[in-house]
Amino acid sequence: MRLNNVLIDDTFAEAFGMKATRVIVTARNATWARNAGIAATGFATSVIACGCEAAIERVLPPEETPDGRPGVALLLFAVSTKELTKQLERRIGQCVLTCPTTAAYAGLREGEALPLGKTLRYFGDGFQISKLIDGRRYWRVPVMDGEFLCEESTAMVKAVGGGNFLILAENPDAALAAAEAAVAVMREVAGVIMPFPGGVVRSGSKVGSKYKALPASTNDAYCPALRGRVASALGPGEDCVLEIVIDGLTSEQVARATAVGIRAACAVPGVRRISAGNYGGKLGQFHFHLRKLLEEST
Amino acid sequence: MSIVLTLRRTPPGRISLSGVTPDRLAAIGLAEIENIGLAWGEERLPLGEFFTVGGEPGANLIFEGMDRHFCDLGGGMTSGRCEVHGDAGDFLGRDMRGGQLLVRGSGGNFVASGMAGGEVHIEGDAGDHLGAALPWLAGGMRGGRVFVAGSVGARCGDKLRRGEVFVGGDAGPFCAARMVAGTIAIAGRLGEHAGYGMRRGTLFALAEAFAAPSAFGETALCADAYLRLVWRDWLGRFNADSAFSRFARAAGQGRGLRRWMGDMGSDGRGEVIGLGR
Repeated sequence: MRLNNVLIDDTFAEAFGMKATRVIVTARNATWARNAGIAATGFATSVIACGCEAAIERVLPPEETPDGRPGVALLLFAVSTKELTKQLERRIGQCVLTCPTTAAYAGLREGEALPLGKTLRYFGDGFQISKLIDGRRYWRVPVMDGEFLCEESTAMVKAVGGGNFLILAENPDAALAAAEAAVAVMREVAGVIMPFPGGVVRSGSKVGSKYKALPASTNDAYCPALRGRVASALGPGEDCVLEIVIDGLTSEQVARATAVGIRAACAVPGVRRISAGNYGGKLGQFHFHLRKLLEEST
Repeated sequence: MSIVLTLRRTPPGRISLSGVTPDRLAAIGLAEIENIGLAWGEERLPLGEFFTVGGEPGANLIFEGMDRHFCDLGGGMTSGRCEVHGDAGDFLGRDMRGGQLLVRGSGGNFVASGMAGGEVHIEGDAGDHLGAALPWLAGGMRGGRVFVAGSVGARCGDKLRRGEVFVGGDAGPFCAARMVAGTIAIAGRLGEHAGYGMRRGTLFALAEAFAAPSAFGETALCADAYLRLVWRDWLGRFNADSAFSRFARAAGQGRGLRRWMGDMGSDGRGEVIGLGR
């Protein structure tokens, strides 16, 4: 299969079940909402070492937030309920509660409750105030710029993490341009995030390593610098590979984001091939077959 | 489908309608409804002695021609809708847990005492102790919402534990006294000693400057996000021309408000938000 003369490998991306939640952060203006969102989702590229994968899902205009102020929607993904609970408390507590003028609200209604203000309220040292508005509980925690308003809990749902595709291009400029174009359109898809810097990762990994301490190491088959030295998956002229990793609240959202991302990448000159990472299909419960996704998305 | 109970004989004294609720009546036939025993002191008198039973069994219950001889109206209600044409007596909505109770007249004393859920709407006035604790109980209303279009008597929300009370008119003395939590909004004037012994909770004073007692201290009002949620809730809940909607719009557009915390003689974490003198 070819798209704009770019070869689409007959392969699939292998993704995993995860636990996810959405939190809406608002502030007096968009700058401070964004500051809080960036801090709360910092160092959250991979569950391998960050505890969770997180990013700003999208910027929210005032008419879409609970309190009518500018905001951002954050998505957080983790491998277990326990880890997600821990990450949520730490990240909202250290990065949103601390950020001037912010408030935090549940971004999901259906699902298992995850504590939000329920635990953060104790920062108020007894001066916190509980209020029930329209059936939902909020905590008002006094802080030095006024008060931090935080909803009692948010909801957690089963989600999908580790969707991906690889952009194999002639050179770094073409690969970067294609990746940027892909991420730009994928960010329009609701319910997904691309957790790596700028949505793009250059250090795709394989399971295991020659070093016992490492659970994962460089995906040598896709390293152009090792072509000719190892059993490479790269052909002639494929001198740069970038990966886009996708986490989504549902497999349908991951599939949609993958399809629009591949189409955008294939429109960039210099892209040779699109592939995907998998582990033979034995580890992850979600398989996103590239050709099938593209056929269905037309 | 509604069951209609039309008053045909005024009772000799105060009679309890506790348990005569739409959720209970929906499950039984009209003949059985007529035989429900109403408590009058130690005696139980059949409902059919005072009411003509009509309509069809369903989730709605309508009382026609009511007066204040009947107490506990809507008592223990869990679901459905109950509409009262005329006045309701004392203990209206007592221990109510759900559903909607609409009174197209006035209510007596101790409206919504022990209420834990649902909504009570009163188009007229209400007496003393609305949402307040019964004398032998530690706490008052525990949840739900009460809307009174007119005025309320003394000790509105005394020991209120949770829930919301909206009063379109004036409130008598000791409003929000000993309040434990919850929210009270008074659109009209507040009587003497508002917030006396208040521990926690919020009292909104909409109409006139709040005369803060000495046991209240003025704080900065920097609850932007919280107040935005409140105003949004009020604008969605009330008619555009109601006092609550008008206040919410004015506050949202920057009307100057002040905040006091107290009562320092008690827990001191209650708050009054309103216009300052």
